[in-house]
Order: sequence, then C-alpha cells, then structure tokens
Amino acid sequence: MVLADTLVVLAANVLAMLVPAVAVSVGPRRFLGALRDSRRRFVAVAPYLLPLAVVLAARRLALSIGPEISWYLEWNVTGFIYGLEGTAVVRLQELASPLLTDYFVFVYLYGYVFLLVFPIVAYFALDDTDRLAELLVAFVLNYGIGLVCYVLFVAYGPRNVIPEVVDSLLYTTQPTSQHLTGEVNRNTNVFPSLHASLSATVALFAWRTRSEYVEWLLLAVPLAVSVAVATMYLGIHWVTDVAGGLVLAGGSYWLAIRVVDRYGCWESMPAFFSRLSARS
Amino acid sequence: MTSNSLSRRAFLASAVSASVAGCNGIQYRDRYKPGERVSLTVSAPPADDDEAATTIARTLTDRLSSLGVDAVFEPKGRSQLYLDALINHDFDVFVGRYPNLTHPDALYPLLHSSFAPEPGWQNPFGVTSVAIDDSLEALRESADSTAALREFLDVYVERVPFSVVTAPDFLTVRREALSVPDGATTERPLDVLAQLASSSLDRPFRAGIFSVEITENRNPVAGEFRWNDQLLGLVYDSLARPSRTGAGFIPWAAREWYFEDGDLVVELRPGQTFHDDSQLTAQDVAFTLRFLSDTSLGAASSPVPATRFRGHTTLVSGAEATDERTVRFEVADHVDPVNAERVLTIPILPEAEWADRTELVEERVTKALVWENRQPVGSGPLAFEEATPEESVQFRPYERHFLGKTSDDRLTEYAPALDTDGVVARYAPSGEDALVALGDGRLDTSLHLFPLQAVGGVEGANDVVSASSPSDELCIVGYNFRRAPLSDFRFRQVLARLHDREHTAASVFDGFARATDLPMVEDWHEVDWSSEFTVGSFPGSDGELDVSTVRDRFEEAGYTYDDDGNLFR
Repeated sequence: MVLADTLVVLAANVLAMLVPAVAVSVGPRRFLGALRDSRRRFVAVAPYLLPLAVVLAARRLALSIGPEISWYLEWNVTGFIYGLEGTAVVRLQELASPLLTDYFVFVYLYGYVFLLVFPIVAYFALDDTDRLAELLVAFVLNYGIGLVCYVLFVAYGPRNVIPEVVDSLLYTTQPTSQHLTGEVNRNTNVFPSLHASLSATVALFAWRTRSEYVEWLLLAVPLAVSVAVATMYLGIHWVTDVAGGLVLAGGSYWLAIRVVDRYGCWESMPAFFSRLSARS
Repeated sequence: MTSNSLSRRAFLASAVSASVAGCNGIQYRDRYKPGERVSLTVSAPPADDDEAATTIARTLTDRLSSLGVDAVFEPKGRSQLYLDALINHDFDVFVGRYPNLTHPDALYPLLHSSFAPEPGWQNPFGVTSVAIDDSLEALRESADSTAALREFLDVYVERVPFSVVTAPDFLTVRREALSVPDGATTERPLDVLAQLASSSLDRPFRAGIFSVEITENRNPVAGEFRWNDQLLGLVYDSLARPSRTGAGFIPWAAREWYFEDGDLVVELRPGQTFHDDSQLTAQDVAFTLRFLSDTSLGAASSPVPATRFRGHTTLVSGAEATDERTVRFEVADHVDPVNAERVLTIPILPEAEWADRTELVEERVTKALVWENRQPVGSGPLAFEEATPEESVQFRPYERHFLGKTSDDRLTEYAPALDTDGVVARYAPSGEDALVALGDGRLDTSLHLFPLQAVGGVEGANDVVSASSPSDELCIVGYNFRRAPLSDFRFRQVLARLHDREHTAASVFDGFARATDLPMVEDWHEVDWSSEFTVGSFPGSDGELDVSTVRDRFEEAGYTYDDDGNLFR
C-alpha cells in the first residue's frame, strides 16, 4: 500500500520532468517520427537490450541471494573505508539547510530516475541508433560490475557507521521512501555508488551528444553532480563509494563505445529470429 | 586478526625456509618474535538495527586506535552478528544487547564454563573461570541470593567476563487516542495483552514491528537471538508468566504449584485446549521439557537441546505426568527451589505436532530447530490467522482460552482481550516510518523496541505519545576469551573502563538508559550495588579519553609500546 503510493509519486514526479524535457529538447515532431520508425530502432539495439534485461533480472536475484553470499565471504570493507576517510562526509552535512535537504532528497529520488530515463528517450529519437546502443551497453556495464561488487563486499554507508555525526537525512525527511529503497537495495550495498556512476555515465554521454542535444548537456552535468553530492549529503554513501562510482562510470563509458564500435547495431532481425516469430 | 596472523605466519614460514636454504646462522633471529601487535575487530549491528550499539562500538574502536591498538570497526547485520558471535564464536569484541535478564539465575548459562562449547547465549565468550563457576553455583543453590550475588559481583568486577555499558529503557510509541494506561510499554507478552484488553477497538489492534522475522518464521524454539517474542509469547502459553509488577511469577496455564519431596509439582487449569482444539494435558508439558532438553528425543548420539531454553531446562532433571493435569518436575541437584520456578516459563508445545520433528537435518541440528512453523499451534490467548511475508502477520483471539472462564483477580484484567478482533503486526522499516504510520492511523502502537534515533520525532508528530520503562535488557560488550589478549583479565580490566557510561546514557541513549557497569537489571534487589562494586571509572571526562593514563594502565598490565606508539603483547 505504502509502496504503491510511493511508486505513484515517483512516476508523477519523473513524468513531470520528462514530458517538458522531451517536448523542448527532442520536440514533438522528431519524437513522433521516431515512434513511427520504432521497429527499425528496436531491432538495431536488440543485441544490447537482452544483456540489459539479464542484468536487471540479476539485480533482483542479487538482492535475494546476494546477501547470503556476501556474508558467506564476509569481505567487510566498511572498517577499511571508514579508516580511509573517517568523517569526511560530515563536512557536507555541516552545510545542511532545510531547503538544501529538500533539493537533494528530490534529486536523489526523482532527479536521478529522470536522469536515467531521459537519454533513453532522447537517443531513441536520434536517427543514428549507435548512441542508444552505447548508452545501453554502458548501463549494463555499470549495473553488472556494480552488482558483482555488491555481492563480493559488505559495506555499510556513513549513516549506518557514524550515526551520531551523520544524519540519515533521506529517511528522516522522507520516511516512507524506505519502502521503495528497501525494494531496490540493501543497506550492505554501498560500494560503489551506482547513483554516482550511472549519473556520471549519463553526463559523459551528454557531452558526447552535445551537438544533438546541447540543452541536455547543460542540464545533465549539474544534475549528475547534484546526484553524486546528494548521496553523500544524505549520509548514504562515503566519498570512497562516489569515487569508485566515477571510476566505474569512466570505464563503462570507454568500454561501451569500444563495444558498439566493434560490434555495431543490427540492420534487420537475423534470419533465425524472423523464422521463429513467423512460426509462432 | 585472523588474516593478519595468518599472513604473518605465512611470511615467517617463507622467511624460515629461505634461511634454512641459505645459512643456518640467522634462523633463530627470524623465529624470534617476542611480541605481536595487539589487533582487535570490534563488531556491532549497523545503525539501522541498533544505533546505540553502533556508536558505542565505533567509539570504542576510535579509542582503541588512539591507544595504539590495530583496531577495526566492523558493522554486521544483527542476525549475522549474533550468528558469528553466538553460534560460530567468530569474533574479537562485539557490542550488542543481552535479552531477558529477568532473574539472577540467567547469569548461570551466560557465564558458567560448562556451557562454553555450546551455541547460543550459553557462555558465548568462552569464559572458563573456577572463581566465576563457584559463585554462579552458589547463586543457583541459595535461596537468599543477596549474599550470593554479592559474592558473584566481587568476582565479576575482577575477572570482567564481559562489560556492561548501560541498562537501556524499553520505548514504546503509540497513538495518543488509544485507550491504554499511561506509561504502558510493549516489552513483554503480558504488556501487549493488557494493552489489547484495554484498547476497545472494533478492528484488529495494529502494532508496528521493526523486524520481519515473525512474518516468516513462527517457531518458538528456534533462534537464540530472537528478542521479540511479544506475539509468539501469546500464541504459546507457559505454565507461569513473570509478574508485571515486581518479582515472582503469576500462575498461567498452571493453576498452582508447590514443592513436595524436592519435586516441583504443577497442577494445570482444567479444560485447556490447543488452537487445533486438541486437549492440553500434563503429557504435553512433560513432553515439552523432555523435548527442549533434547529435540532429537534420544535419536542423536548426544542431546540436541533447544539452546534458547538451556538455562531453564538445566534447572530440572526430569518431568513426569502423574495424571491428566499434574506434572512433577524433578529439581536438579544444587538448585534452590525458588530458582527452579523459572522452568515454569517455557512455552508449552503440543506433543502431537512436535514429536515427529526430531530428525537430524545436520550434525547437531534437528528439524525442530530450523522449522519455520508457519501455522503455529499453541494454547495461548492469540491464535495465528494469516501472514504476508516481509509485510504483516495477523492473530485472532482464541475464544476457548481459560482467560474467558477464570475469576483469578490477577488475570481478569486480561480477559477482555478475548473479545477483541485480535492483533495485526505490520512491518515498518524505520522509527520515522512508524511515526508517519501512527500519524495516519496505519498503526496504533509500536510493538518492538522503538528505535532511539527516531524518538526525537515524537514531539513534532500529531497525536503521538511515547512511554518508556526500565527493560530486561543490558547493552553489553562481549570479549572472546579464546583469543589473546582478550583471554587476559588484566587486559579486559582496562578495556572495561574505556566506556564513559554516564556520557553514553545521556548522549547516545538520549537519557533512555541507566548508566551501569554491573550485569543486573533494576528490579532484582533493593540494594545499591553500584556503590559497592565497579569495574572502575572512565579515565577522562565528557566522553574524552585521557589517552596517556590508559597507556600507563596497559603498561602496568604487562603490555608494551613501540616507538610509534603501537601496543604490543
């Protein structure tokens, strides 16, 4: 019940950003044109959609059996990270004000989802499907490598380790959001920050597509920076997690471009797929 | 600690073999290792599970680091922490909560050396001290526990088998409009039953839980580290229950009990049934004791007890049903009858259902201990209705319960609970979330211990009030005696003083705790033990440690510092 309400609010907020952003940046005409050509575009990126589906399914799996494996291995890096940076994130919270907190909560919950969804729509609208393919590959790499880290390492965030100096601002200001975050992650999974890595990945792609979507670059970069800062400001991630996320983003971006450059997109469904669909 | 010493050993091995291959002269020098850096891992639940424990453990880690110890803080999810500490005995130092310290005799299984190899809250520290054993046996044997307790505390403060930091309060937050007595908390099953009885709602009583365990597992026997038995404790009746007002027990499924020829004889109330409408007889009670003492009922090569009840079942050496409604417990040697009464609090299990759960699923683990028992059948005032895993669980009143018929004036206050619509327990991921739920009517009260960090929000919340009272729990620091230098009581004596208890009670617990360094809860005795016994004051003030004083203490205890200020043993 609470979860459903939270999801509706999430969808409403993200749509409220997405619709105007698409209208302004992509434009209705280009968007509708892309829809009419959607079959070709789906076929083109089909080889990259499958791995994404696999990784997202693995994400569900990693949530249920992942903790078992993590605790079996018991590679608990929390103490190491704490030893490395101590109470560095406290500095950020010293700047806290109600307005700033509202902003970062909004960015963390809704801005982030918008940041991930918009480029999918925008790159889908480009005639050249390579950008969309690259983005999908980069998402797969981020998620895939991030999940492996989550399963391998046990790492708790600042709010769980230094609670007397870091407030768990997200959950004190938006208590019910925990029903949602509890669905998508566990509190032992903070290294690396996927919020930071996926946002940075999107920002890197915004730079790559600056000639097509210059307004997007102007929006994506500050938003991505905000998301990364928000994760620390809200007491969820360590500086180390965000740094790890940025490295992951850079690596995924670089590799995604190489992969699509090497393997390209499909021009049509391979013959055996067509035969399969014809038979059914 | 393990990996460190392992790598050191590996290094040594290679150095030694290299020197053997080369020149004999340096072998001795390579093997000569007069000291080893003191290294400790301090574990505790993360703030999501127990913020106070996190803070205490992390503060301890910081202090140990400043004293030259190679110290690492390691947060672990609560169930993992207790699995590692209580079952696997794989820990150095842990901060946690010791539950159910309702009676001095609870110290016996906690610290007696004969329990050291056992899993669970049976001597998890590995204490093997003749002095402690002697004082515990005296405590169990004596009717006047004041003198025996004095003896025990005398040994306790010298040997420091574990440390106590505070005695925390139990915190409950509820809707202001709810008609329950002021200051009522939800710590024990009877507290909850009393609230249910006075709630007068025309729908189920909505109680907030902070752990999903009971939505998935309703086995009253399993789980050495189950804290929250408020609801299962009402599904499964016991012969007697601890009185809510002071010491002693009130008769429950037992109408009365008395001592005869060294036996504890119990008369059951007539006409009791389990929730499946089968009769509850003296046979079931005698079976329960046999079963909890050995859940394999003789099938395993050595007994597989339900570790949760080890302290209770060792008070008696046998039980026999002499007729349908009479059970004779044979009190164990060297146990004072007053102490033996504690055995009356074990849950009564229906023999028909549990007798075939005896098979071993693993070495020393029977089916009974790991079974989820999704459809629990007890004889208590609440009967299981339905559950949604990870979300909620619902219980209805059991209308055939004896509370509906009794005129015992110690019990009549609970009888109206049978006329309600029962209880639905709903999971709240955090205290803050529970406050929102209380505000919009999704919850009537918190059931489990309300998280301290959210209590600040009570004031700002609409129509929500909190209540607190001293609890049966202690916030403790466990030391693993199996690992040097924790095996050294001089070292532990210094460790025990690294907590500024007054400061912790005030700042970490927000005043919802009593600062104490003694292993006892408040309502045991009238005596002010703290003026007589102490492990020593905190060297420092206002939570600031006086590092040089403690360094001197470590040196006095025989430890050394190198030039970089690192502590060696």
